[in-house]
Amino acid sequence: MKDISQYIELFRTERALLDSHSQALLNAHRDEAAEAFMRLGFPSRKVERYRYTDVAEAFAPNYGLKLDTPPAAMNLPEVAATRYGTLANVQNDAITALNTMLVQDVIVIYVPADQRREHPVQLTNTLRSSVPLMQNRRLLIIAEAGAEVQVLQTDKAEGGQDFLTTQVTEIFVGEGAHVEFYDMEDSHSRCHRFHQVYAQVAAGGHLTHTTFTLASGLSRNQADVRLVGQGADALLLGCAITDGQQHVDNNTLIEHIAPGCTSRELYKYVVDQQSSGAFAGRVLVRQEAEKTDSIERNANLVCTEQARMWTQPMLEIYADDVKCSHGSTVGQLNNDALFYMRQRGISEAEARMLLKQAFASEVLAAIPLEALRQRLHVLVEKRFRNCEDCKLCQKNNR
Amino acid sequence: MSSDQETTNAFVRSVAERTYEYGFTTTVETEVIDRGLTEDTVRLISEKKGEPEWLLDFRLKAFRYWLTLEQPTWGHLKMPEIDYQAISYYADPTAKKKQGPKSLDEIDPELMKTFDKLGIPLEERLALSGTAVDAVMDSVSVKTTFREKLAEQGIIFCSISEAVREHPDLVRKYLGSVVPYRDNFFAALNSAVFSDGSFVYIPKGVRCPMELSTYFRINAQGTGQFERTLIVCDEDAYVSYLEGCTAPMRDENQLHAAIVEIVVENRAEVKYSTVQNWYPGDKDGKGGVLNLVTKRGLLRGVNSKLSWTQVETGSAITWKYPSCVLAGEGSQAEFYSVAVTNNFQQADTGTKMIHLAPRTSSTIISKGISAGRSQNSYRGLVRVAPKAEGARNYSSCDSLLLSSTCGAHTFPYMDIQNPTAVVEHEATTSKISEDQLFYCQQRGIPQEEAVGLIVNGYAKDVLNKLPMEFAVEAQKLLSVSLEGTVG
Repeated sequence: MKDISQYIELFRTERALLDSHSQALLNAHRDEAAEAFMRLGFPSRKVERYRYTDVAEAFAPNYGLKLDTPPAAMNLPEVAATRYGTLANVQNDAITALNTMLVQDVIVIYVPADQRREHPVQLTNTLRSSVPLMQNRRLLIIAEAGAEVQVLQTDKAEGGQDFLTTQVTEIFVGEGAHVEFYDMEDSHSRCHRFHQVYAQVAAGGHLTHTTFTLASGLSRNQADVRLVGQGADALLLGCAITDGQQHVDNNTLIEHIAPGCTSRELYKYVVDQQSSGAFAGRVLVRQEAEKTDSIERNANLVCTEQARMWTQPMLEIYADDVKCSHGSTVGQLNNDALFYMRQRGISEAEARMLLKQAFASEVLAAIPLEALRQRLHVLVEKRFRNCEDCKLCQKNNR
Repeated sequence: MSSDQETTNAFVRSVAERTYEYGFTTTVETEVIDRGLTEDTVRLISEKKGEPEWLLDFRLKAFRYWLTLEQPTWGHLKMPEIDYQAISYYADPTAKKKQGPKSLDEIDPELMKTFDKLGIPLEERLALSGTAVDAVMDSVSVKTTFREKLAEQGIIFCSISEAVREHPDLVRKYLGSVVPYRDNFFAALNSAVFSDGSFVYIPKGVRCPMELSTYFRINAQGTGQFERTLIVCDEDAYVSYLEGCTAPMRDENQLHAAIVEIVVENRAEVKYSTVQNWYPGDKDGKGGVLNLVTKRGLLRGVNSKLSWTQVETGSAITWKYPSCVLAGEGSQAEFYSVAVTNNFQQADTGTKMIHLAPRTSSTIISKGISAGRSQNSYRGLVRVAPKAEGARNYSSCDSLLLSSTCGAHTFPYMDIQNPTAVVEHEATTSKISEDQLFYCQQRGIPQEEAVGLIVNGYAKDVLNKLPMEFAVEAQKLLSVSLEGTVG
């Protein structure tokens, strides 16, 4: 319950201003969210899903909220009204409730039945401010039956200001639809981000959800994926490269509700310096979800004595005709491989970098979107080299 | 079909037709103290056992701490509410005799019969060669066999009450050193009201010549059993310890909240094996023992070794995490477990491996088998502390599902704080392979027997770690527990 008061107070005093600049749809959900937020408070570390991140501490500083945004540009399509907030339940999650209470705008990506988008949609969020700033974002992706869409979201920050972002993303994958959502964060050490993704996949639908965390301060990404129709399928990929005091916490829940669904999950971490990483992935197979096929894997490199990694892959199975497995490893670079490279005249630093890169490239290789895959290879290398203007970056950075 | 197979088939059939065979009760005059738990109860227990002042203080501290706690709810269990005031905390079936029985002639023949029926003869000449037994019924140790023979080598094997009287220094030194009374809710409760259990001390350099074994039996109605076992294995010593348990069939839940503490010194080795066969409740989930225990080993010494092997087939609810604290450099810990749940049983069991010292290694092999409407969870923690250079852990947890109404869950926690640690975890969940079943049936093995064979094969990794006599019993139990799960 620690210090939710500043947010409650902000909401009470600025309610009118918030309302006047936002869609009626968003305003209609605020009261319920505020009530839930007051009841829930910030989750302590005793709340199972938040045990690896101190939420109250992240929300304790006094951030500014930019209230005089331009009034909502256009009316939301009716379909948004029927879906908004239906997956992101404010009753169970404080961050979702807080976001719903204070949200100012929503981006809606709607793909009608059997429509295909040739090119991916890219959303770029760049944070720039002269004061510490809080931002509450909302994204709604709806792909009707047979539709196809790829969405890429990139998070950046300019200037050394403190930022706090909450984002709630709801993804509806219709029957036989195909949605790929790529979330890439490359900001700086004073950015704190909480991203809650809620997705639902209907029969025969496919969802790819990837989370890449390069530079950031504190990132907590939660993904709840419900496979509700027969033969639905989900691929979750994640990669985090952390250093300094960075903290990255990925928490996923894949719920197999309908029979014959498939899920694959691969998360990799390279945890360096004093940074910390956490991965908790829960696969829940309901009793009706016979013929479930699920594989979950998490592999981690811990590079220094100060770095810390928590990993917690969980299987919870109530059906019997299933094939589920999970695996998790924590280790360090292979000494033989290092020796081999050094023997061949590669410096130790370079050899280490190459091995880390090879480790991360398994996740990159699984990315279906070709252009992004190539771009990420560059970004990941750049991240490992940790340099702003080396030759390599200039060459590839145009 | 080879005769070997025929024997196996007949064997499987014979046991499959049995239900819980230890569900009888013994009529023996038992002194049971009034139900309820207050400071006076704690004092009364201590007085009945004629304990020294320091132990009473220990109990009272634990009791006062317990009062500040709430029962934990984090387990994947639907726990019936336990009314701690409706339980009697002390039941003594030997009370008729003023002093505890000194020789066999003084033991109530009913008690002798009970243990005979359980396959635990208290007469040394009848005992399985090579096993010394401490038999505990309700709150009191009835008899410890082969004590004199073991004493020749300086080995102390007796009930913990006797140890408090005869070796107070040892008990005082080690009691609560591995599981402090502040450890958890049930540990605090046990520390306040524990009654009997075994005490083992193996002196330096001694290899214990026989298996030591404790057999726990709950008999009296409306009582709980709160046993406490303390095993100390001094430098270069070795001991293999077995624990068995049964309870009568009753409609009410019976509480069993035990603590087992093990201390392993330099280069010593302890093997601890359990076949847990408490009454699991009837097929509608009525009754059964609530098994809520804290077991932990402290590997204090350099290159010390501890191995936990458990076969869990009984109990309505199992909440148990035999753990190892690897504090000595180069120490090794192992955990092998088979947990079977059927009908309405629930198990939330696993282990904790806490690596504190450099070059420590641990292995976890866990096999869960769920049938009926049961829920079976593996919950484990592997922690590598910053100083545990080169720590190594391998965990493998497999679950086998035998019905569409049961659940199998894995909750492994890993917390790694050292870059040189190598930690691996694997888990799989599946049902019995149709191909394997078909293959067996094709060769004339009835379905139920085929399932028994496959399950025994699946659990073999763990059963192989058990001492011989125990392995046979465990194999039988596996088949009994799974009776009626096919179809």
